[in-house]
Amino acid sequence: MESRFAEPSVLILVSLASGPKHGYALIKDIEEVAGATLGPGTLYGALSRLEQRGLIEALPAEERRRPYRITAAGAEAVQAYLEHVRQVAAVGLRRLGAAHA
Amino acid sequence: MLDQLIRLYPGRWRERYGEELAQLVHDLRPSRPAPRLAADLVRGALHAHLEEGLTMENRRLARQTALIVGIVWLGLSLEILRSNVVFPSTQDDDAVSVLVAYLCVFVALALVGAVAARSGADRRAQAIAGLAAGVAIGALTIATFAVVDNVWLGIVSQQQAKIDGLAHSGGGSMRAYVNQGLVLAMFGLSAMLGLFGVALSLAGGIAGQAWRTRANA
Repeated sequence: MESRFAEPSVLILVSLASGPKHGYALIKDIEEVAGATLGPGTLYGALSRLEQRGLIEALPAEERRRPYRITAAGAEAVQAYLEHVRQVAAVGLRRLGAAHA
Repeated sequence: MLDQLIRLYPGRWRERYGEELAQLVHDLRPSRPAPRLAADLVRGALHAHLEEGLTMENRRLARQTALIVGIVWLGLSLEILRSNVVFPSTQDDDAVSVLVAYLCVFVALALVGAVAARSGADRRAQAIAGLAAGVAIGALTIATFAVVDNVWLGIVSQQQAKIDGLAHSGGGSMRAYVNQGLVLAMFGLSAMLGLFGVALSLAGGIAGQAWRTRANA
């Protein structure tokens, strides 16, 4: 499975892993969790790409706010990506620790 | 004003996401400076247009068009080499081969449209493909002439048309005269074939659409 993600896409999938959210809720959750500020154009660009890839799906809109939820494929993809990142982070930190020891 | 920037997004994209995006902009307005929101929206619109252009269908159309352009350019280049270097003629007697070359190019431009239509491309995509093909064939052909005329200047400069042209140009070197003509031809031929490309591609598209309809019947 393809596991290449731009940063906004990872943040969106991580945020949706805790439940469906619409755009404003996604931006607020991402700010809180990752300290990253996404603009509306950036957010919806990533939502559009994730939806095309089948990693998220749209739910019925509530007035003009439409929630999105992560799909099974999306959960699998982001989990694989995060495990890979964790592995690389562990090696990197170990090496840096050894270098400064 | 920020809502107006959402109009920069492609039509289909706006139909799907426009309302939600407008609501989000409205929700963020109290907490974000308008210039930052505006810059983000403009950037997003550019990306949306780029991504719409890079659809699978457009990539396939680009590959098909490039293949037709490549084959035509190869054929024209071989003929340019044959008639200017391998079997050069000092007389201005290449009218038939020039006519045949143009006919081949026109058929190729119509084929671009036919192939595009058969693949389901709309009129706009057919026209763009024809324009791109015409401009590319024009530019590549002149590039071939530029190489041939400069590398084999000793042979090319024996052509009567070149000798007469240099005489009428009022002096200077044969190389300078030839290259000056090539620069003008690059723009002229590319523009002319670009326009022909649009028209012929659309005509070929009509034929291609009929072909597709018959195939699906």
